[in-house]
Amino acid sequence: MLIQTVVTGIAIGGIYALMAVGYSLIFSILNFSNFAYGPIIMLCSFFGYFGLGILKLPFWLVLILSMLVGAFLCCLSEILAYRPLRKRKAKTLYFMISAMGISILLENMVYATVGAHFYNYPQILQGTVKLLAADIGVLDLFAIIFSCIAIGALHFFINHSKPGIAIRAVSYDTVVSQINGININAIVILVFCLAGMMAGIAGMFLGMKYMAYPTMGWITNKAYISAVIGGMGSLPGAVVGAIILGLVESLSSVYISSAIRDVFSFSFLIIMLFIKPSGLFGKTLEEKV
Amino acid sequence: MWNYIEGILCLALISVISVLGLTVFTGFTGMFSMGHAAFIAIGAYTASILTSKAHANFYLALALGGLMSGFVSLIIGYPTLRAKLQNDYFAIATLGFGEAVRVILENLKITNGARGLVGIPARSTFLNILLITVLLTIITAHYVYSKYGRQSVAIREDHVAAEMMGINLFTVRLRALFFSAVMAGIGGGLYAHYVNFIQPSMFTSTQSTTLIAAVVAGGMGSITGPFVAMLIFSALPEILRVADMWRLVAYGLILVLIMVLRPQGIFGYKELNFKFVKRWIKKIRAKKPALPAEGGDA
Amino acid sequence: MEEILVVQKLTKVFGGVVACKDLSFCVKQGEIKGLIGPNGAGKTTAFNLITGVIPPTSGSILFMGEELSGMKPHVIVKRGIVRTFQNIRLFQNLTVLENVIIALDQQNSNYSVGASILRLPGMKREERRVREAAMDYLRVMNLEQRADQTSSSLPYGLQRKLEIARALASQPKLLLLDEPAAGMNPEESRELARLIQKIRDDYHLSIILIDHHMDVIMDLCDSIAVINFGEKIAEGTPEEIQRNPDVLQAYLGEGYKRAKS
Repeated sequence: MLIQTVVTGIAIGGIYALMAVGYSLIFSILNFSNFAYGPIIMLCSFFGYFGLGILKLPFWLVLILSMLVGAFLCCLSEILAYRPLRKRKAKTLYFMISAMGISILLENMVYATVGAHFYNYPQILQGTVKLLAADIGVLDLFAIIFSCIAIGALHFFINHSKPGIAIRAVSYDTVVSQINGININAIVILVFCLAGMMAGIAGMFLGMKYMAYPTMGWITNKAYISAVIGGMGSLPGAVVGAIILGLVESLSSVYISSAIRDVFSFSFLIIMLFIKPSGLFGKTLEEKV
Repeated sequence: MWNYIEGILCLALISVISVLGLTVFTGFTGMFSMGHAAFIAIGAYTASILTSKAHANFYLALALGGLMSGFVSLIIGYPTLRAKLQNDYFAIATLGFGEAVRVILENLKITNGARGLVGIPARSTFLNILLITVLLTIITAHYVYSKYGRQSVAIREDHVAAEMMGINLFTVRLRALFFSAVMAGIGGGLYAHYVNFIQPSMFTSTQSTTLIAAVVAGGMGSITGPFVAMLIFSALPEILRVADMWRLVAYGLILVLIMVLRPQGIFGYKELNFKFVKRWIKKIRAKKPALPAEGGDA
Repeated sequence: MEEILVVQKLTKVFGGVVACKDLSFCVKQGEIKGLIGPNGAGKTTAFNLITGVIPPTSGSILFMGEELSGMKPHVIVKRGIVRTFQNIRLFQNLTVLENVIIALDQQNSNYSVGASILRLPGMKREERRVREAAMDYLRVMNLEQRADQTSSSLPYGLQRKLEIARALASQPKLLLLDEPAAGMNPEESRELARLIQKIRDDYHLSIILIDHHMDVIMDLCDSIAVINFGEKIAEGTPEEIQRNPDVLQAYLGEGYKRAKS
C-alpha cells in the first residue's frame, strides 16, 4: 500500500514536474509568473483528446503534434501579450496581469465554446504491473518514464547546446548577454517553445489521468506551487518541488483525507514559504539597490 | 422595469464594495491577491450563519462577517508578508489560499458542505446597500488619502526607497490586506442576504478575477476608476444579457489590452472629479483682461 | 569631536564574491566623510550594509553607541541614518511635494487610522502642518516652484536634489549621499557642494559622501576613505589622500597628481 502510494505520488509529481519545469524556465528568463501556462496545458490536453479520441491518430503522432501546439500557443502569447511590455520595460506586476488576462481569456474561450463537459481519453496505457509486491498503473509508470526523458533532454539541451548556453546566459544577466550579441527576442521565443513542448506532454498525460475539461486550471496551478517550493527559476528545484508536492498529495489523500488534499498542499506551500521564501533551490530574493 | 434595474444595481453596488477593498490592496499597495473571493465567502458565510442560525442583528452580523474575513487575512498575511513575499510569490500563495478556503467550506458541517446554505433572511435592500456603499466609499477615500494611504503608495512605487524612509513594509502591507479583507467580507455578507442562498462554488477564482480586472481597468491608484469599472463590469453584461463565459473572455481581453496599450488604466492615477470644470472656468477667466478685484493686493 | 558612526571589520560575501572585506572607518559628529574608489569597489555595498538593506557577513556597525547590524532598515532610519540612491529612487508617479510628505509622515505626523477614516479636525490640522513643513524642505533645495509636478518629470539634476530634500525630511543625524552629483556639469556640482555644506551646518548633520567628482570630494570632505576591491586602502584628510601613492595608483591616477601640481 505504501509503495503504491509513493509510486502514484512520484507519477503525479512527474507530471507536475513537466509543467513546473516549463513554467520555471520562463520565469528564469523573464522573471515573472506566466499564469497563461496552465490554460495552454489545458488546451494541449484537449488537443490530445481530439487527436486520440476523434481523429484516432496514433499516440506518438498526437504527442508530437500536441507539443507543437503547445509551443505555438506559448510563442503566440509571448508575441501578443509580453513582448510589448518588454519593449517598454514594464514592471513585473504588469506582466503578471497580462499573463492572467491570457489565462482567463483562453480558459473561458474553451468554456464558452466546448462547454463544461469532461472528455474521457480512449483506453490506452491501461492496466497494472506487479512491482515490489504492489500494483503499479502502467500509465503512472509511463508518466514517470516520460517525464524523466523529457526533463533529461531539456537538461541536456540547456547545458550542452549552444542555444541552451545562451539561455542560461540570458537568465543570468539579460543586459550583459545583449551586449555580448545574444538576440534576446530569439532566446525568449526559444524558451517559450521549449516550455510549450513541455506543456504539450504534460497536457496529454494529465488528460489521460484526469480527463480533459476546461477548469483543469487547479491542477495546472500545482505547477506554480511546485516551482515556488523548489525555488522559481531553478529547473532542478522545479523537479524536486514537484515530486515533493506529488508525494505530499498522494500520502495525505490516502492516509488523511482525499477531500481536503488541496488544503494540505496549500498549507505545505505556506509553511515552505515561511521557512524558506526563496524556495529550496531558488536564487536569493535580495535585490539590487 | 424598476425591479429589474434595482436588481442589477444592487448586485453591482455589492461588487463595488469588494472592489474598493481590493483597490486599497492592489491599486494602492501594489500587491496582488488572486484569492479575494475567499474573503467574500468568509464574510458571506459568517454573516449568514449569524443571522439564520443565531438570529443576530443584520448589521452586527455584517460587521462580524467583515471582521472574520479580516481575521483570516491576518492568519494568511502574517507568514506570507513577514517572509516579504511579493509579486508572483504572494500571488501564488493567495491563489492556493482561495482554493483552500473553498475546499474547507465544502467540507465543514456548519457551512452545509457543497450544498450550501439556504433560506438566508432577505435583509439587504436597495436602500441599505446604497447607504453602506456610499459610507464605505467615503471611508476608503479617507483612508487612502491620508498618511496611511501614502505609505501604501510609496511601497507600490518603490518598496526599497519606502523602507529607507522608515516605512515598515510588513505592517503597511498587512494593514492594507486587512482593510481589503474586511471590505470583501462586508460585501459578502450583503450579497448573501440579497440572494438568500450561498454555496462554495459561487466563490471561485472567477470572482477574484473580475475584481482584479476592475481594479486594473479602472486604474491602479484611483478609487473612482475601479468604482466605475466595476459598475460597468457587473451591469453591462446583465443589460446586454451576455453569457457568463463570454463576459470572462472579455475581461481577459481587457486585461491584456490595458497592459499593452494603457497600463495606467482608464483613469490612470487620477480620480474622477469635477476639477476640470474649475480649471476650465479659470482658463476662461484668465483670457479676460485681469480685473483689479481678482488680483487681490495688486 | 565625538564619533557618531564606528564601522569595524565589516565584511560581506555574496556567494563567494567578497564585496566588502574587513572595512573599518569612523565618522565624527558634524564631519563630511568622503568614500571614494573605482567602480565596483564596494562603496554602495558599504551603504547597503550600514542602512540594513543587506545583512553583513561579519563585523559591527556602531551608531551613537548602538549596534546596528541585524536591525531592519526601517528601524535604522528611525535611529537617524538616512540615504539617497545612486540610481535615483523617487516615487515617480507622485508629485515632488508628496515625495517629501511621505518621508515626513514617518517622522512626525501623528494621527490614528480611526482619525484618518473619520477625517477628524486634528488629522486635518496635522496634514496642513506636514504639508507646510514639506514645503520648507523643498525651499531648502530650491524646489518649491516644482512642488506640484510629478517627480518623474523633473530634470535629472533636480531629481537628485529632490532625493536629498526627501532624505532631509526623514530628519537624519547621519546622511549618506550616494553619488549626488552624478550626471551634473561642473557648475551644477559646485552649487550642489555649497548646498551640501549648508544643510550640514543648518541641520547639524554628519554626512558620508560617495562621488566621482574629485573636486567636489576634495573641497567638501573633512576626511576621506579610499576603497578598492572591498578593502580600505587609505584614509585621511584630502591633502594626505592626494599624496598617497597607493591611492594615486589604484584610483586617482598619475594624471591627477600632475594636474594638481
